[in-house]
Amino acid sequence: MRVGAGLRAFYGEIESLGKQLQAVLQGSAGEVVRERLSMLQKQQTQIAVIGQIKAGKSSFVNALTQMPGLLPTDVNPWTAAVTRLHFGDPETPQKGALFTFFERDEWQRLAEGGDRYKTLIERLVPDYDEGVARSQLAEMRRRAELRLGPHYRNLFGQTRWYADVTPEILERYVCLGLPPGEPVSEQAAGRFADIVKSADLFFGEGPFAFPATVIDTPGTNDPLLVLDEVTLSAIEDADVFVVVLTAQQPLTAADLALLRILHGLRKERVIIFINRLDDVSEPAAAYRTILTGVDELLRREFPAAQIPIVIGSALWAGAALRIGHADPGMIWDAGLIGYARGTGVMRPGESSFVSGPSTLPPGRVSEILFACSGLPEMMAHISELMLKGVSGQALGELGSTLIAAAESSMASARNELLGASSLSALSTRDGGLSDVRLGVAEDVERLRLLEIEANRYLQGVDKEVERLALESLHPLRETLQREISAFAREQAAILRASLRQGQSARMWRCDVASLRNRIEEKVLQAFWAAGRRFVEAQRQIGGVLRRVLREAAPDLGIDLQPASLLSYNLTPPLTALSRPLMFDLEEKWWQVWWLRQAAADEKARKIEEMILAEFFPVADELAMAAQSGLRGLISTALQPFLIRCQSVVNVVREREQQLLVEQAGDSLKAREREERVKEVFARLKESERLSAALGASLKRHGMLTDAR
Amino acid sequence: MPDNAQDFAPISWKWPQAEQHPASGPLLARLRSAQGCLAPASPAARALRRIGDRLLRPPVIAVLGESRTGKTSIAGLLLRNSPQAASLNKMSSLYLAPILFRHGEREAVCGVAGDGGRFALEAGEVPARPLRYIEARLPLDCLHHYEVLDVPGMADPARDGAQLLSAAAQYASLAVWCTVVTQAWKGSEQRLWRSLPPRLRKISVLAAIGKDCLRHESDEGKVLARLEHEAAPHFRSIVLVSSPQAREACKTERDEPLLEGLPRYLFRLVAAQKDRTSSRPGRDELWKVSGAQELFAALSGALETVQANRQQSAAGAARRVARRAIKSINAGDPAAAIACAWNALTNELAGTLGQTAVDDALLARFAEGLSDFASNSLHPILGPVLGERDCAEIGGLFRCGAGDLAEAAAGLGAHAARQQLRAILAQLQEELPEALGRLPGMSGQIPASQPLSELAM
Repeated sequence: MRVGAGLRAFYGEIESLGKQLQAVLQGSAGEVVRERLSMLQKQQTQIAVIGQIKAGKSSFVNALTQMPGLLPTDVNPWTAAVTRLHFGDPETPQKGALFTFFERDEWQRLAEGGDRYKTLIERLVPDYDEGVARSQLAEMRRRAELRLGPHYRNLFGQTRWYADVTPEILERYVCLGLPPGEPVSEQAAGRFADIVKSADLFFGEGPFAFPATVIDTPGTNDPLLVLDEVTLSAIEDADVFVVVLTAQQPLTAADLALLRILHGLRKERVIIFINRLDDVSEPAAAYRTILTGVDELLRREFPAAQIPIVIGSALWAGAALRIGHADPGMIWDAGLIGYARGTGVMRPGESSFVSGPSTLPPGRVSEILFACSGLPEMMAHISELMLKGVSGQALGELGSTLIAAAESSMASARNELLGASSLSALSTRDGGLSDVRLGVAEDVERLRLLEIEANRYLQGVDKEVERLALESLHPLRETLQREISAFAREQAAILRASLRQGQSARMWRCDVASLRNRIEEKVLQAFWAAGRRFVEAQRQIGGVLRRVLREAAPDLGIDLQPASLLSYNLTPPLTALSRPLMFDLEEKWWQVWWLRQAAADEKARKIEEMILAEFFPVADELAMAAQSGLRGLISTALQPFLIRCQSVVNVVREREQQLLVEQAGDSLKAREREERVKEVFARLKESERLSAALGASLKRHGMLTDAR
Repeated sequence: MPDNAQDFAPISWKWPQAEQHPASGPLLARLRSAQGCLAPASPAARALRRIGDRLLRPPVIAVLGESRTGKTSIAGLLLRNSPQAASLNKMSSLYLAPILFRHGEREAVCGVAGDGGRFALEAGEVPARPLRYIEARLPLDCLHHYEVLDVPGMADPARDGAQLLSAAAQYASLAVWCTVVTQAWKGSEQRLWRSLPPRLRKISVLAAIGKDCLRHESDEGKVLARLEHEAAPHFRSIVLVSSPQAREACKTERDEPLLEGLPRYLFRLVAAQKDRTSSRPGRDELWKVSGAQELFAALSGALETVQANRQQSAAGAARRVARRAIKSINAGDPAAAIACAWNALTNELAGTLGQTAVDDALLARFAEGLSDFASNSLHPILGPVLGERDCAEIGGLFRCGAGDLAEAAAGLGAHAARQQLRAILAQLQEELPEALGRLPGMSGQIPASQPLSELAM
């Protein structure tokens, strides 16, 4: 099974249909299609693997990419740097490894500002020292010096290239290594860990049918600081997120925090892999409970999202891939056999634990291990989500654009055919030709005016639609600020009231979760309103063109249906909402804060101020992100509509041209005209065929089309 | 109840009760005799009683950790794998409240509210009052020595971990923080742990559970090395534990397959050995390999520290109480001072009476005590006030020689002799206030009774 086979098939269909269409198209539409087709070459899918420390992310990546033992794993947390594995990218080498070190100031910034938790505490209770202030910078300097020698600074900004990727090299660059006690050897694991920003490993196609990048990330586990900046920026553009949990502790608070951040990024492309089923003593008895537990929690937390959950073991998958090279040995235990039997992978009496795997043919052992590992399901889910990712969406958009182009070609062909038949009717009429010519001259003038009108409307139509759509986002910032202010007042009032009743201030806890929900709701509402506005704006503009079309070519059925945003993932970026704030700090820190405040009124006033100070920047960021998010969506979503609009202008112009030719009396001879009609007719049929084929292809691959 | 594991040396691990403890025992005795010299209802006596009770109360071992880290299995080990404890423990996760296991003659459960009030709690019923924790009484011998507080999982999204934790910390003398060996000491755990009082953190144990999940022998060292590096400053000791094996070691029935619970890297080894000798490894060996031995050794060490700390603070508190009591006596109430000394004497004599046969030595001790009281307590206090003559007259009441006493008890059986001696004491007790009634207001330094002074030192 190859990962992304569906996307590959879709790609093949769109590419082939696009090329066929290109041959049919005339004029600028052909150019647009050629350009869009060439951009397809750059498409690839990014699969980010994230999760807590020691969830088995690297082991999962090794299993998914079918290179057991490639990424080094250890019993202790081991992955230090973001590692990207590139498969089948035509623009990169097909073999080798590139390691990039931090720039000096990047490193400094990371080392100084790495402790966001500390920063939050300092913001809440300034100059409160309780040993939390780990001197991260000093520690990182010390470690770097121990591992890399006194001149480690010279390495900043450098890259290292290796033509061969070996686990040993990887260990040196992307592993944490042991805590250093003394200077380490040149070859030691983790030698460069502190200064490596990223690692890029290049391969051929591997198990991927479509170019893909798999991103392995260092583990995270602090619920407050789930993703560090480096990891976040590395995965922000990913199409598919694989969140790795452990069967022993599935979905802890830290996992949920991570999912909430993803929810803010792109919630629909998450797959949960519950790894390390091999660590559970009786997997056959436990797996259903684990799955149901996680499922229930997810439903409660994200009622709208449908997140696939797969349970298994990367260890089993690794062993399956190694069969023939290594004995599954200890992995073949009672737990695995029970699970294989319980899930129907193994037939009753096929083999027993005591007899060991040696009684089965190696192929069968590998089959059993792989089926139990959950990898087949993971590969299927990833393939499915790849279709929904950026590449799949780009293909869908291109498909819609191609359909619009085909329709425009159909319209132009029909136009020509209609013109030809009316002219042939004219030329066969006896006498009165000069009258006809006079009428034609009037028609040409009328069409010319219509063309000017249509062109005027078309000029900057995209900007106009965008402006109208974005207009509905303008008040968002103020709306959010109002919401926050109201919440702050409300909370201060509650606090005042409870203090007046003689309750201790410490009993009061600011429920920022409800504010976050309110903000999210407002942003979503505004975003959807903008989506509706987008359609309305096209209708408005389309109205003018429709009138032009009615007057110029009433006989042509060009459909000016507006493009909608519905087929896109209509979620504004909500990452800013997930950022930890002072209100997320534990009670302990708040107790210190309460102790430092004097009068009750003062406390309430300060709380109100703090809510504003913490949340206003969030509101600003959300409003800006919504704007730029929508702008990006619109620029691609509008394209089919623009092509249809352009085709109106083209039709008007073509009709004008035909009449001019006619007026000049330079009409084609009947025979030539017949030839021409045949040719145009063939073009019409071909365009119709391609449009239908494209529509079918989009439908087959689960793309909502706004073509019909 | 049957204590299955009693015959097995490692698990019959006991922490000495305060009474038997070489340092706490004498302190408790001193507390008692000082209490004896005070009027039972006096604030000082009550305070000393409370100090003694606190010292006698077994220390509380809290079992903490994130959810699904193996806390229940550790609590199970501490509770001798008692099935009753295991089933009661389910209430803890039902109510999301800590459960405290204490000794009781019969199995019983109640809820404890924030103000310490107890109320009946039926499993599955909504608690009658806001529940602070659940108190379970079990007739387990080990609960004489320590109590176990099992706190439901933290970092479970459904629960506010930090709050539950700080509530539990109040009751705990020391804690075992449970973590999963393969994901040990995560950031989330570190943050929760850091929010506990340093007093508790310093003496607690980090138990990395799931040693049986490690696949290579070298892994154990690696994990330990990392934990030493990252967690050692926050704990008294760090141990790796394999609960299934520890449980196995405690079993007396030996017919269950053992292979299940072995660390994976030992699995082959033991399986091979089993084939050769067709015998199971010894329980002591299992107990050791499981890490339970080390865990319990670490707990012993920690409990020793707990006891030392408790004793130190008890001694300090007792000292303060005694000093205050002496001060108030010194402030000018000679009657109270004398009553205090008399109480001390009668308590002591009554104690002696109950214990030994009525012989010459006892009679001598009686006579000596009474004359001591006259010359060391009465005389110094009353002398300056009443003058020598009156003082000697009162003192004379108490000066009866051993011979006089022997005469009074002569010819009586042991029981009657005791009665007789008690009657003498009772009579003196009646006469004392009468004698003291002759006292005018007094002032000046009056020595307090000896036990109280000793305690105040």
